[in-house]
Amino acid sequence: MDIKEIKQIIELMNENELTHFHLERDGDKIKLQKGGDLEALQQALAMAQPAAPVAAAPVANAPAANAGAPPADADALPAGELEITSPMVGTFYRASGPDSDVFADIGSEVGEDTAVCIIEAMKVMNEINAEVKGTITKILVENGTPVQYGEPLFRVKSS
Amino acid sequence: MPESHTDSNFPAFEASRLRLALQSRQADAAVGDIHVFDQLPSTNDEASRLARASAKERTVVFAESQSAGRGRRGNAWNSPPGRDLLFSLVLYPKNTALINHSLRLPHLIAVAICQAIDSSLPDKSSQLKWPNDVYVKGKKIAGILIENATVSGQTFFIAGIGINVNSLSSDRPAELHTTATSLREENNHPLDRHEIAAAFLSSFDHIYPQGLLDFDATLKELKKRSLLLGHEISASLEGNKITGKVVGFGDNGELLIINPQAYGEKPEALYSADQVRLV
Repeated sequence: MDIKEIKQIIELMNENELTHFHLERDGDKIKLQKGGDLEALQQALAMAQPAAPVAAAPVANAPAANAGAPPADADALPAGELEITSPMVGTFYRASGPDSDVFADIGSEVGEDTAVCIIEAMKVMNEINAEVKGTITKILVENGTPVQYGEPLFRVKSS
Repeated sequence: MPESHTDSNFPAFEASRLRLALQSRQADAAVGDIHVFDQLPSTNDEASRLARASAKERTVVFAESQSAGRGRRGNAWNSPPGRDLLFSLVLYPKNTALINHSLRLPHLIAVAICQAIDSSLPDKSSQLKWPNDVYVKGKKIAGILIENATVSGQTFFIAGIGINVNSLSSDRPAELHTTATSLREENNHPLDRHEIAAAFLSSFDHIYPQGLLDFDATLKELKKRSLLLGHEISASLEGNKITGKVVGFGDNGELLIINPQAYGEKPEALYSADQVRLV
């Protein structure tokens, strides 16, 4: 992805007053945050963007984590580390129920199909897969807290 | 003297009788395989096991009783054996567009339950308490819990549904005596569970999967049947509280709340809550 494409995305975000944008394509990864609505941009880029397993409109006036539109991840990941991000808006749970074992913990080996958490929205308990291979090094969200689309949930050392 | 588990008023639930009830509604295709168990820990768990082993689309699992039936986040779902409907439906959305709109699924199911039970209610008056509890005259009559997972690239949804058909308040824990009801209590006579199940499966078949993409008709039903729309509410989630006036529903059925003092003039969207109360 070149700077021209990124500029086009930012222009589209501005035109549509969008909050978040997250795209992974051919090994490129870009995440943008500002104020507004995500779904319109997802539609605008539907041809280019691989669909997320579950996409959802964000909270109407979600507080933007970063003012302005930084062109990429503000916190660069250490080499060899990946993030598992939330594919939807909802509430993050580490286990399927209050008395169940957690899906994954620090040190857990995960594969692409390994379920790592539940994101609950409107009584739909969405089991979220790691989609990456490696070892969990950090859990970035507290159990039972709301998460936004694209919010990092776990950090994983790639294997 | 407690009523027996099955007698002429309360026949055992049978797959063959459900098939007949579906045929009479020209809705044979509304289900795949039908499994009926006397007892299960939870129909959702069994349906999930079947879904992971490549069950047929719309396989449905019924149980006469559950030992570990549950609602949201481990809340127990109580029902006496052989009286109510406890079942789970397996859905494999065929494409990404359907999966991307799956937050609408609980609303489609809730509306299908309302449509199904309205024909068995004297004043056809079922209502919805967001996100998807079904109420009649202020008392809960049905609940839904949906789970989904993707295994080897195949996404499936399990819709767990409980509908109080023939239970009585004396069958329920004391804390539910004034807050729950059943179709039998509303009608003063028992009803055939096969007919209620067939009515739901047939209603759902009319709105799924297309209703995930064309949500307007469902949204209209959500508004029409809402117990919360236009009212001040208080909702809690893991100890945090949100209050405000319900002004509508978002594109995926999320609750839109206005509280100018707390969040400004724009509505806040609520996606999940442990408890929602009118204030």
